[in-house]
Amino acid sequence: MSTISEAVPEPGVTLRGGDLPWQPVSTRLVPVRLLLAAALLGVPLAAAIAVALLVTPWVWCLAGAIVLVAAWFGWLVPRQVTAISWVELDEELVIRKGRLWRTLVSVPYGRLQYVDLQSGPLLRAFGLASIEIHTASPASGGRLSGLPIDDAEALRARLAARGESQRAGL
Amino acid sequence: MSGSAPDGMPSAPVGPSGAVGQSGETGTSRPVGESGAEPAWERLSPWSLLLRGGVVLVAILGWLISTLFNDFIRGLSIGSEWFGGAPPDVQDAGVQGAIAYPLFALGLLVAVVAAAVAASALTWRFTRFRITPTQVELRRGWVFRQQRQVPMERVQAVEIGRPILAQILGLAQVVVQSAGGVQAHVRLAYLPLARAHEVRDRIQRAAAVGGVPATQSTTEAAAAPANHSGVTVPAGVGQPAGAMATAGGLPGDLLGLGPDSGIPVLAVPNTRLVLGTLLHGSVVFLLLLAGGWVALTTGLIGRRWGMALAIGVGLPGLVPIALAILANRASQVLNHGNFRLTDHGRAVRVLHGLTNHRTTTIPLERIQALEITQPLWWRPMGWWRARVNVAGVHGDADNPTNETVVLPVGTLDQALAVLTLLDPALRDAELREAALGPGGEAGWVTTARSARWLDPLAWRRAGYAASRHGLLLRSGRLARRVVAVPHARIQSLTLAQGPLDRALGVTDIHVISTPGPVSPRVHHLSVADAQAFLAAESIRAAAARRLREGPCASGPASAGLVS
Repeated sequence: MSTISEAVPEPGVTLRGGDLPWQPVSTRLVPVRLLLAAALLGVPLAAAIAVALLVTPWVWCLAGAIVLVAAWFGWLVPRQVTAISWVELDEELVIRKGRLWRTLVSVPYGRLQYVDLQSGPLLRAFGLASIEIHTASPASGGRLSGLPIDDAEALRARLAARGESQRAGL
Repeated sequence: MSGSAPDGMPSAPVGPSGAVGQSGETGTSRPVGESGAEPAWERLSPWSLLLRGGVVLVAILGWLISTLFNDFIRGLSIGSEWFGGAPPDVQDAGVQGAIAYPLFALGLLVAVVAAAVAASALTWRFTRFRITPTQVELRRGWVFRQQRQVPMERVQAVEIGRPILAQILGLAQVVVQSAGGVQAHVRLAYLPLARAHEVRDRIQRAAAVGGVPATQSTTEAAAAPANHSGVTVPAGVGQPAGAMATAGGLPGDLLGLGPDSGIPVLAVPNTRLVLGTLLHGSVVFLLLLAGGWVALTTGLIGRRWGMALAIGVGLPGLVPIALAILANRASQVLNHGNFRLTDHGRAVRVLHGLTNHRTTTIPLERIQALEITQPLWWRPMGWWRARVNVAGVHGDADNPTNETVVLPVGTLDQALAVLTLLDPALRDAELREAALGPGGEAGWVTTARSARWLDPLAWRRAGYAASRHGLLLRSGRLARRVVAVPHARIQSLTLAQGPLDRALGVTDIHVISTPGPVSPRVHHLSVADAQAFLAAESIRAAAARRLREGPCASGPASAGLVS
């Protein structure tokens, strides 16, 4: 056994910041996520307002709470989106996410089982796509939302090629 | 591949050890079917209809009899009222009608039973399977036909299972486990035991030829001739070093599952299993609850009345919890009972089940992560449990043939013996240090100073060490845990940091393995340590992936021949 803490190789993967060419995802993901949140909150908000107008004014409290949640989303989503970054290294793809709860996933190309490229109507309207990488373990699935469609296509192709060349058995 | 032809005739009396025995292994004695290419369809044992449909039949019969009996009794009492002129109970007019017309009722019963029997018989007649060089096929059903096949290259394991009713009837089922998951398994239920073995061997031989990944079958195929040679222990296989002393003298015929060619490694006595299973947090909690209640009431109210109150009022309230806990414990005993582990060179086979005997074959090269744990309550006995993650096997409760426990309860020596057997590159001394070490040994990276207060007991131990072969992770001081993951088996690496972690400048490491009972993690490493780990481990894992095309066991093909 050898002590690891001394043997630090050059620019390492870091939980935040760092010298590697970390790439952000497109900021167009912000309106996409905000629209989704609006759709999610819009219905209860409308219902709450209707009830408040027709039945009892007390429900304005609920409506206010929903508006607060919406405001919190408006603050949170841009921060979340800018916190996503990824980098392709020689052996692995690294994805970082989250502000409050940070996670970093490092998936070796050799472990890729398959790569999904998804683009729903909303994402497509903003010219975005998301990439989901699958390994033999569902726990290590890395999902990268909000890549411009062309970039996503290119990344998927690169990942598939690298996965093929570095493929390791289970 | 076309080793031995199936016996063609469905219900022909099959004497596997004689008919398919040694001569069949050579693949010369029998032609493959009449046409030369297509192996014939075979049938399951006719008794299987009793086992498969029989339960329904028994249920129907039981229901009818109990209903009739109930109403017969009631009929008697009501009947006396009838004579008194009281109106009959309208609700049960039908059943009373049956009482009134016993012949009709009997006829109906006979008709229902006959229909059920006929349906089962038809189902049996239309259920056939065949083993071709390329796949195992099963056809079922006469109204709704169903055909399922597992291609030989998708065969992961072939297991034999014996529920208790099957044991009584001398039957066994063969489950062909497919890489496609539980839904894609083919279950040949049921066959006479000897024939089940013959079928299993045939499938394994075909899989060894036709399928590349079914590596454990290679061993099986190599060992197969010994299986049916009539001798219990195959030639050239060393006798166990007393490990089977506890097995109660079942040399070749373990658990009545038929001859097993493997070398016995260990057996867990059922008494120890029961004791170990009962020494569980939930049971201790229950006892503490009961004891606490008794102490409280006697202390507050006085000895006699307090006792009475405790026993009369408090304890009955615990009964539902107690039942739930005991049922849970009992299921563990049922699953792991009669536990035996045999070594098949490049695979181990687990034979287990208190009443429902079954086997689980674990190819060494599919093992992804290994773990030994010692619950607090086992420390006085020095017992440990060993589990593994096996690729493609999820060890869920729904599918108990997916056994991932390789030692339900045993001594540390046994646990380490199992671990080093499953992964020969593991070093006994290192594992021992990881299991028992108090912390502070050289080579271990442990909890960051700033986060020690989060883990006041175990911070000294909790950490990881890297060897050339793999990672060792350990945690816990009262209840201990050691996880071993070969570098080559790491799926991916994850760091996770919550708000508190960030404030303390620490982060958790998750070494991602395949799904299973073992989840290798280290908590609260300093960010610098974690990042250094990530960098170094990425390099080690990449090197290991490139090096290794072989199994978890370091030696490649040779391992199968040696042991």
